Amino acid sequence: MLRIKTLLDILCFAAVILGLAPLFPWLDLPVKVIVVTAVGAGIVTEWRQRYWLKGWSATILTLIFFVLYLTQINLSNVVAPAVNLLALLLSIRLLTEKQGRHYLQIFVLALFCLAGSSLLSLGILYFPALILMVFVVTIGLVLLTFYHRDPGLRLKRSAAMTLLKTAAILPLGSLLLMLVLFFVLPRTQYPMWNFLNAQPSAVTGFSEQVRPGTFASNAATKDLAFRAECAQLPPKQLYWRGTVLNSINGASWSRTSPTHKAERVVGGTPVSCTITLPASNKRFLFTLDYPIDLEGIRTQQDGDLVFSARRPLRKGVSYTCRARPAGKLLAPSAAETQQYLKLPDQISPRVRQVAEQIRAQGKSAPERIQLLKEFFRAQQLTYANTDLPGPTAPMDEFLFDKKRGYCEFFASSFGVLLRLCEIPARLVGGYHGGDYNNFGDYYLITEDMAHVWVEALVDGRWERLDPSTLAQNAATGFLNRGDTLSLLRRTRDGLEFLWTQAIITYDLKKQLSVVRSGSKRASSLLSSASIPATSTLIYTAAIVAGLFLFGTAARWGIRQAHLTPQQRLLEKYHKALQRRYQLEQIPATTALLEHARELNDPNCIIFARRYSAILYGKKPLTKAEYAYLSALIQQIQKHTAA
Amino acid sequence: MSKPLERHAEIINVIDTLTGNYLQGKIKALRLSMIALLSDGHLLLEDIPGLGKTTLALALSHALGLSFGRIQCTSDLLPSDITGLSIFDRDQNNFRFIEGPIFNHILLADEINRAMPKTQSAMLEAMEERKVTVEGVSYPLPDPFMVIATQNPTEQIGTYPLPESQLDRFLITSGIGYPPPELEKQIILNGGVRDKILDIKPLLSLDAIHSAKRAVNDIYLDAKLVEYLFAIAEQTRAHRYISAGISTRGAISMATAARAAAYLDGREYVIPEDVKQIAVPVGAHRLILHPEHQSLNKREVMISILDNVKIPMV
Repeated sequence: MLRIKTLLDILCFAAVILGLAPLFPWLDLPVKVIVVTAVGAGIVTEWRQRYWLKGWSATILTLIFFVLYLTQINLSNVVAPAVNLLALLLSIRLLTEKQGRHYLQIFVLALFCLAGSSLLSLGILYFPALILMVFVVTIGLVLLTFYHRDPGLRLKRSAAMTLLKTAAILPLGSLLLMLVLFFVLPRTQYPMWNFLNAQPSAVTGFSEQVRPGTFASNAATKDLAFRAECAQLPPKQLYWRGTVLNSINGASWSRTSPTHKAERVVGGTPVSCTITLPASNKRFLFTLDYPIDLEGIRTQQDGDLVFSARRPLRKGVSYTCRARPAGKLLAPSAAETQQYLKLPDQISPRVRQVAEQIRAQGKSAPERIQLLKEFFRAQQLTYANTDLPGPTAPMDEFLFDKKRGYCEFFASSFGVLLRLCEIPARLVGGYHGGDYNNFGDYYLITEDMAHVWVEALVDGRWERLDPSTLAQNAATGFLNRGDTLSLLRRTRDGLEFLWTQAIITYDLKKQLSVVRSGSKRASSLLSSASIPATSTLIYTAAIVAGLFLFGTAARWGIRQAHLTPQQRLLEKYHKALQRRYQLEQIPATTALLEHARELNDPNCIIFARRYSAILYGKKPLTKAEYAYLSALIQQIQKHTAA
Repeated sequence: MSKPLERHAEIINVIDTLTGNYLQGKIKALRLSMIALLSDGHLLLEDIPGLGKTTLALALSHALGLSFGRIQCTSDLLPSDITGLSIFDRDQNNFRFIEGPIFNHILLADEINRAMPKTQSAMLEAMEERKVTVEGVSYPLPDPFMVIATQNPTEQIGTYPLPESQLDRFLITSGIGYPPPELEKQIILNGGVRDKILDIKPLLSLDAIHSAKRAVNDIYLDAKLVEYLFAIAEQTRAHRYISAGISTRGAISMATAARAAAYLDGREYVIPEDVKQIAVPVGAHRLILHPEHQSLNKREVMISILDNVKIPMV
């Protein structure tokens, strides 16, 4: 016997957890603590039937929280207080005694929490949470109607199962409806609230400026920067170009759009690479170094091969970039080198001295670069993210005192020294490296791979120099930054990629445009690479088909595992009969022999007799007998072909 | 313990011989009477006169080498007309018990519903107890002992219908039915077989019948089939047309009859087909319908119940 209240409680807490889990990262710390405590305590109190909060104390707490968060709400800050308040209300409700309407309140609040989380993020977690929530809440509501009639109601296990199964029809139907609505309704590709009112984050990744010395330490995060679908490349070629910083102002490097003609890329084999950039509200478009052109997005290209979108990326974009990773970057013949030789105002004497020495020793640019590299090596610099040089004279401190820093220190010092040696130089900001995901054949580039390197103009071509590799611990500290992702993380990221491709960036317009131009491009429709929308469709279909197959296989597996040899035989026999005679399932009220006689098939009669002997007689099912009966079934089935 | 399926061939031989030569088109009824005989039950044939009920009973008794008695029931038939009575023997100067027709292996009670209740109950008591007590002395009935009673379902005037409780004493109720048209024409052409039957030589010894009965008792009834039998009984009890379903005795009877059916089919174990085969003849007459559904055919009700009980397949 099952108490209906127990069932309802289980569903109720499931709904609470489903509602709060996706929202949890966005809650204030005290609220997080309260929520976790409340869920834990709620389960315990429900178990013991002794509640922490009485009706009036709950009301007072509710009022206090209301006032507390109501005062925080203003036009620019609506959602955060609202979701925190929702979570708190839910927590209070968990700690009080529950009657019918309280369960209803909990379901509604949990649903609101889940909905609130979608304003803040569109992670993949939302999807399973939503589906489960639909199930839990609808079944919960059905149970609630029973509970409302008779709170002490007890159900037999079989009756409860029937009830649950019947109640599960509702959410199944609504999920089908959801599938239809998915194709019909307009959607947003970025979380409504959180994205437009992005908070300035202290976590660094790729930035528009290089200002060594502003942070005492540099925290690397594993947040997604972008994904790039392409063939696997040698690690040395994995430089992702974002921006070029050509002006120095004090200690900081920044960008002024160059006016000169476009630089050209020659040599090396071209590589095509599809980059999927999440919504960032910025205009940078990353490319594989050295890029030739971009396709699939409206861009603005500068002479130094920096691409940017026409307007800030408010939704995720995907574009194809052609590049020659092993190529050479040729400067236009009449290059204005003056811009790339400007020096900062303050340069410490020690740095000047080094530059003078190099200028004296090396006559040509390649020689000087070589000397400069040797100087860097001789300084025994360490690649590090902590205990960094301070803001007053970061370059001097980096090269001679602390001798530790991250790529920005290496690149900016190297760049300044190059310019001091009369070699035109600039900094390139972007990413270096990438985790290749075999699951989806793409590189995953995370924020901790953000990198800055140097390009120097030597003999009319811009040569890539990465001073970070000159660190004494380059092999461990820089080239192997961070841990490689575990298999689990890779798989998860692969799934997330699919989610973004198939669900978030699914766009009806794309779909319609494909349909419109369908007659012309009917043949190219099949090649998924050329039309992103088609690949999206294929992905969706693949996911659905995959889930379906998996589900069927799992069901089959579970059933087979539960089946006795007898049942398996019987199932085979039924299938054979269905094939042979195009019969419906043998009715459960017809006995085997009776049925076989009706069919008047001697083989069937033999099978029915022998099988009955095993089933109802004392005859054991030996292996030989099993084999014989299987063969008999085959024979019954074979007559179809003949 | 007897050998499995002992004397099976001989019993089948009896059925084959009878149906082949004498009782064409009565194989079903003959099998049922054989089942009744092997499971120590009695048979009630419900059919109009002239379809060969007596012929069936006679043929069976002759072929099995059993003694045969016959009573034509009328409203003035007394219990002693069946059981026998003690009469004063002048020579011996004491009372001597004259056995009535019931002291035969096979007793044909024609039109049993014409006898008055007192007589009916006396006979039914003897059927159940397998002995007759007259003036304080018990006389055992022969073994095997089987009553083949007949009643005419159409004529109701001047009859005393058997109460349900007494119907329960009969293991099997069945009709005989008309023979198939071709066969009937043959019979019309050749005349009855009554005379030929009298010449049937016994095909079986009494001993053989006893060991066959023992073999039937040893037929294996699996727990699954017990479950199935119980499900059928339970369905009759819960059925909306039925006020009283199959009793526990009824279920036991069904199990026994199913065993006998399995034996006749040459199997050492009962299968659901056996149960289905005997469920209507054994079960139908035990159902007591609600007054408002009296007009329904109990056999049809029983069939509809069978069509609702799942066969145990696992």
